[in-house]
Amino acid sequence: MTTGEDVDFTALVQRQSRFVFRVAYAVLLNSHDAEDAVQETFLKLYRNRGWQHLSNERAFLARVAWRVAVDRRRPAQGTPATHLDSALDPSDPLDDSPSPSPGPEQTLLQANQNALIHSMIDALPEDLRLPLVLSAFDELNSREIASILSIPEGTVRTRLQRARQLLRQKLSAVQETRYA
Amino acid sequence: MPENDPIDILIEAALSTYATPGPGLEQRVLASVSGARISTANYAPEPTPGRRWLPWAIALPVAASLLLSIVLFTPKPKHPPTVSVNRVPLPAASIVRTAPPTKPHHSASGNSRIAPAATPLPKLDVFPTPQPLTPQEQALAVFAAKTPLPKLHALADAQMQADAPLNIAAIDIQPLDPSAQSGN
Repeated sequence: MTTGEDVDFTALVQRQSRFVFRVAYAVLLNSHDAEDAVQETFLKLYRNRGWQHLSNERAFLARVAWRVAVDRRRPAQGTPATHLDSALDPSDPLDDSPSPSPGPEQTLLQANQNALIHSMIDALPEDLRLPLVLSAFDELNSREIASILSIPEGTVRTRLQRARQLLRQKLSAVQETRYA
Repeated sequence: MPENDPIDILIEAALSTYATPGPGLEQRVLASVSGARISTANYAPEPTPGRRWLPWAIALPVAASLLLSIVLFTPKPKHPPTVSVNRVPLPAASIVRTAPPTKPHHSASGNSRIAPAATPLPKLDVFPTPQPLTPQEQALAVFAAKTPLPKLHALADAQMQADAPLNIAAIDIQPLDPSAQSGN
């Protein structure tokens, strides 16, 4: 690889590594594993030289990172075995939270609302969490997310609405508990 | 997305900080890539242990197919090669006349045939085999070893002259005396 290509690759890493990390984290739910997945993703790109002349850089990187993260996900670790229907059950919105971190009430008592919502996002099923994370940074639209996840664009929109609705319900329930 | 609801604002704020990597992620990624590049430059790529069978898996079928094609498509001679055999005339006594072929016996299964028993022919000597010297030959060898060379040459010359045509002098036969014959 020439020096010019090295410069381009370094710029790519500095430009997109955080985005790739978020994609990997949305699958793996672990910072160390997500960082390993980021390194593996860029290493694959470097070896295959597949990072040059990309039409949609973010979509391509997100697709590669998602596949790497899914491959790295250990069966025991896995994502929460929550089904979409059970996750959307509004009767008990806090029951499907498998996060080993302290419960939402304790987190709320620590006045860390972001951590609370992060744990709620982690508790979402993967098919809801990944579109939400990809769309949260206003970098990818529904069409790009659909191409990354190989699902129809309408399904992406539906899942985004369900994910936000579920988060809203959970957060409302926690706030009602807090101010009760 | 409607973000007027305070809950939505909270969600958007939390999403913007969700999955934030630690500081120095870019440097760590670049370091791992450069480390991999150095290791790739220093060491020749080796097949992974799980793929060491791959060259054999390719080479063996190719070799087998080549061998099979050679065996199948090699042109075979239409007539078997003629072998010249020097036939040695057999003595009349050694020729064994076999009985005319009888009806073949079928086995229980009916598939195999029993060939008629052929009498083996006597082996003949094609080339002379060394034989021990006879007493006369032994005496001649002793004589040749003990006799000096000039004498042997003289003997050989005498043998040659012995083969020359004989000159027999004409026999002069006197006529018989008729008087004497008549007197007996």
